[in-house]
Amino acid sequence: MLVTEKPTAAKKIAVALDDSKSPREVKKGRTSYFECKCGNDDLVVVYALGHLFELMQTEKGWTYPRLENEWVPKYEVDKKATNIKPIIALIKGLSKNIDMFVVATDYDIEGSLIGYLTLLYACKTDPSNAKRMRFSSLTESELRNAFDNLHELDFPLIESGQIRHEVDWLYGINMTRALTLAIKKAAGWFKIVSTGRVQGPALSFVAQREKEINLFLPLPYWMIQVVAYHNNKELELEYFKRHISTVSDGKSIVESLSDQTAIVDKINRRTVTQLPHPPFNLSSLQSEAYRHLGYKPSRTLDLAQSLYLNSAISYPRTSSEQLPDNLDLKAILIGLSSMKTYADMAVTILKGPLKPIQGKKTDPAHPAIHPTGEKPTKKLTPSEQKLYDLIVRRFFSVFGEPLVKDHLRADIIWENHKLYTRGLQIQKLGWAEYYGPFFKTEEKSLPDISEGDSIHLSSVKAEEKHTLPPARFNPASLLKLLERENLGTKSTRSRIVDSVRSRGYTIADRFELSTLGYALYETLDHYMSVMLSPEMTRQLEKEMEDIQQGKTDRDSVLAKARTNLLSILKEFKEKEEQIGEELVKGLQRYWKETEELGPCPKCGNGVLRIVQSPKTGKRFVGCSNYKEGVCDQTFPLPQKGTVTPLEKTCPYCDHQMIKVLSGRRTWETCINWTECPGRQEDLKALDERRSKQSKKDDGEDSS
Amino acid sequence: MSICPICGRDKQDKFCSYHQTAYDNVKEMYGQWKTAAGLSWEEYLHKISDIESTGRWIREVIEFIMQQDGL
Ligand SMILES: [Zn+2]
Repeated sequence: MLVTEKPTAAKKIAVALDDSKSPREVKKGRTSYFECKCGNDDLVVVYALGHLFELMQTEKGWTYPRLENEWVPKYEVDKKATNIKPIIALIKGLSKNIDMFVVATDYDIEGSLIGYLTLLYACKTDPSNAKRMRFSSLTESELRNAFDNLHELDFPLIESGQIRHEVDWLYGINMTRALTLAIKKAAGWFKIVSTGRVQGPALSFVAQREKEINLFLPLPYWMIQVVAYHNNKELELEYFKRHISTVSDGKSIVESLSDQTAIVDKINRRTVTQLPHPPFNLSSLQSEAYRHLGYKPSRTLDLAQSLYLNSAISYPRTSSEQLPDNLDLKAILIGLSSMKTYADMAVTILKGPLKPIQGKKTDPAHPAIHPTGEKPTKKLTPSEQKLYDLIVRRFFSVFGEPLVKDHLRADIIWENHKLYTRGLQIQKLGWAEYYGPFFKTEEKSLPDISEGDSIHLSSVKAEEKHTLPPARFNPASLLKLLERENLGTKSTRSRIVDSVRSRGYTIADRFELSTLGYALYETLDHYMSVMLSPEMTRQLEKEMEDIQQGKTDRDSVLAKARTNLLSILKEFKEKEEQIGEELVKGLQRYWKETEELGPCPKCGNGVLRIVQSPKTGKRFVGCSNYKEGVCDQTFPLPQKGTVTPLEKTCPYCDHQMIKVLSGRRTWETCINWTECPGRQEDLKALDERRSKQSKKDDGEDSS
Repeated sequence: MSICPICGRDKQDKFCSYHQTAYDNVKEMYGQWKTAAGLSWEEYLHKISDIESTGRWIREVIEFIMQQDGL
């Protein structure tokens, strides 16, 4: 029996191993398995659906501390996971007459754990007698090869995965309950305020950046701007000092340069060669996909996962930036050469020595992300297609020659002042030719001037500029920071980044801290800063890695994590009252800011609030006096985006103004927008956008 | 402990810790602005609140100072 991770993977594996390439799919109610013949072996290929088993608390009570748990079928923890039940039953039933069990899940921590738990709790077999298939892509040759060279189970990897779940469960459950119960005690409300081992530090990074931005006070500087003439052609020159720190210095430079004739002193040429970027690992893929395609890291991971299940690319959850020697690069390129879009490039590369550039980072289990060269079995969606193109082009580019460019600079002199004009010339595109649309540069030729020419400085100005605050995080930059700080793993980070937003701690995609985010951050920073500190998490992360390398074991790491947690919870309990009060104050501010939109214009003493229709689920603005049957004032709201009230009223109709943050777009309108005489143009534009969007959604899987 | 007149958080000195830091920044940076641009205190406050990249707490504190001083 081969235990796989998903139905698509099961089918791929069954097809690859079946001698006639047509395994039999046996349907059992809502689920199924595959039977195939491989030489003298009869194989049964079953599938999980990700994790079939999850941790559940074994002691009673929704309280803390709660330290004991056990693995149970997922549907016992998550009532919605009803599809898991028949799968476990099927695997259990099929496991009775099996000679050998083989784990054929993804070769990583999570996959190994899924395989192990399935063997233990569904197959009811001793995992130490089972074997492991190791593969990095779902291509036939690789799967065959993995089946012919079975390994033992990697127990340190499994233990490390297991403890990650246990520790995350311990910290997540207990800290979230502590926060939630503190609020309940202080105000009697039941509002779940969650945090976790990695989420706390992630929130803290966002909050600290927000503080810097909120406290930012710009400083002035001046930039000298010169418009000059040479042979009747206009030139823009830059002054050799980019920042002039006082207005008076600026003025005196302007005075001494204006209307003078400067001389071209020298033309410098600096040739720069740039090697190709290394092959993609998950995080560099995520950041390039965000930069060029605008995909959030979690979306990129989902799309890459689906390309992997489609045999189009290798396993995406990798840290490696290297393509190992044993990888058949030639076969991949030959495969790609049969695709129309890539044929020419692949053929050109095949003529060369096939020596890819390698990065520094490695991964014990998988090579860098690369195309398999196989045609995807299923038609790609437009988004998958774009990501696939990025991956293929990056793969091509690692075989490319260096990019050669010339930086040109003419130095123009008047007395003790120097002025520059610059140009950039690409001599040879090299690898950038393959990277194509994902390579951006601004080529600019140097004006036609020679040393000794005179140049008339006709207009000289000092323009006032101001220093800029640090940028807010975006999903990709927060992910990068977590990686740099060694927090979380490549498979968990993008989910954590999403959770900071989805739990309401930030507003929209821009990682602007919300009032709720402030409330939690400030309270913890004040009373329980250890829950925000990356130190504790980083230490645990290291110990979990040590398990993987056999340097320590699960029991001692778990014992330490428990002791640590208990002391945090003890300290929390002592300060519970203050923590509760502060969170409640913060929550009140949050609710006030997000839901209240000022006094009702109809009845005067009610307050307008954002409410959700219980019937349609649509949100609108209603009056707080509605319940008493006193006032029926309502206003429609845009259904997408985060709405926050602004401290101003509409200049056309005097109604409350709001800000709507939707995706990367921000717009301001009034709550009376559908009726407001000043906003009919806006309404038309929104309608147009909407119909365009729905057309786009029809052609593409929605994001 | 009473509350910050700007945001309602608990107050440390004149303001909460955020607005206090913002207030200190505004006072401290005036010297640099004065040397660089030769502005009076009042001109400086107006200038800062007009610049888009000025932080939210700085802006709020300036608004408060201007209201108090009737500027
Ligand atoms: Zn304040």
